[in-house]
Amino acid sequence: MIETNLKKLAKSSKFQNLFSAVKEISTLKLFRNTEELSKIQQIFLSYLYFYHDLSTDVMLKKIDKEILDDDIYCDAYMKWKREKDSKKPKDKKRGNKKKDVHLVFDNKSSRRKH
Amino acid sequence: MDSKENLREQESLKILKDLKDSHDLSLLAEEIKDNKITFEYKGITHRVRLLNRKEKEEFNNLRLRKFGQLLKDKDILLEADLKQIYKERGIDIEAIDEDIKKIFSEKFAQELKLGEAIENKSGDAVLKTYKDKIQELVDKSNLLMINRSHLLSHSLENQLLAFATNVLIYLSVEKQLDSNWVRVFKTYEEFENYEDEKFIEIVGYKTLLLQGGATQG
Repeated sequence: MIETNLKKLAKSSKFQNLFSAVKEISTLKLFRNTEELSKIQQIFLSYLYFYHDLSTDVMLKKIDKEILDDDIYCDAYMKWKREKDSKKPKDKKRGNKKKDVHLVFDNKSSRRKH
Repeated sequence: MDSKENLREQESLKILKDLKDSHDLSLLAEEIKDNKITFEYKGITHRVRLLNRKEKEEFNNLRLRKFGQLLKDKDILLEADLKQIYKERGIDIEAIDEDIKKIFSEKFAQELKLGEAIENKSGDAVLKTYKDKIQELVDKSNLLMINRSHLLSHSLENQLLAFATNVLIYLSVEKQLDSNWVRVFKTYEEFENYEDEKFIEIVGYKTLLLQGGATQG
């Protein structure tokens, strides 16, 4: 039940928007504590990244929006994605998760792509 | 008339459930905000927080002492010994472990196929077939793990884990006295003999949210 609720919170637009904003605005914080994350904070943070990656792929039309509503679909897709990425030749591998975000927001990387 | 009343009742239950779900989510959102959880109980402000260095030492000392006591007691069996005795009685726990591994491996294979089907937008029917297969494997593995857990519940290792979890709870909870925070329980024995089960349940839940379990201590 806790895990289900944590996932609900992490994929909610409120926390996804906050997560995106925190990465851009250094004075904005996700938690009151800035060190020594509790276990549940660590798990929540990993879910925030998880759903952020998924939402990005929805936005890029790689997957349908409905996938986000099903935990089994979400887990399966992310495992498939990780497996696919691990098999790519090293020079084609995306080294940094943030690059996924930059593909959407950063003109530089989209110029490199074309 | 009856069916209208039933419908109204169902709608009311749904609204109540939605309100409760929303309340549970709000509570959890509050509990995530900080690495300590403050709450009211019988008019007194309490909090559960992570252990400091001194408390971690106390935790380790108590756990080691308990480990020594359990080890000296010949009636308490190590997991390896329990497994051997079960095997002599026809229950092979290593075989259960192998079955669980095989199921996880099969589940992973199905998940990769499902993930690829999602990327290829293969359609709802295809996705549902994989999903149902995965759910079946999850249910199968859960049953095996529950059975395994039950069989080994009295092992020395599990008894030590249960004790360590209690020590974590005992060390983590404080109450507010004027403007100071003081431990609720002065000694572990005081915690063990505490009669308010509901309070122990509440602080236990909040401690595990923060700490994740005694293996993390």
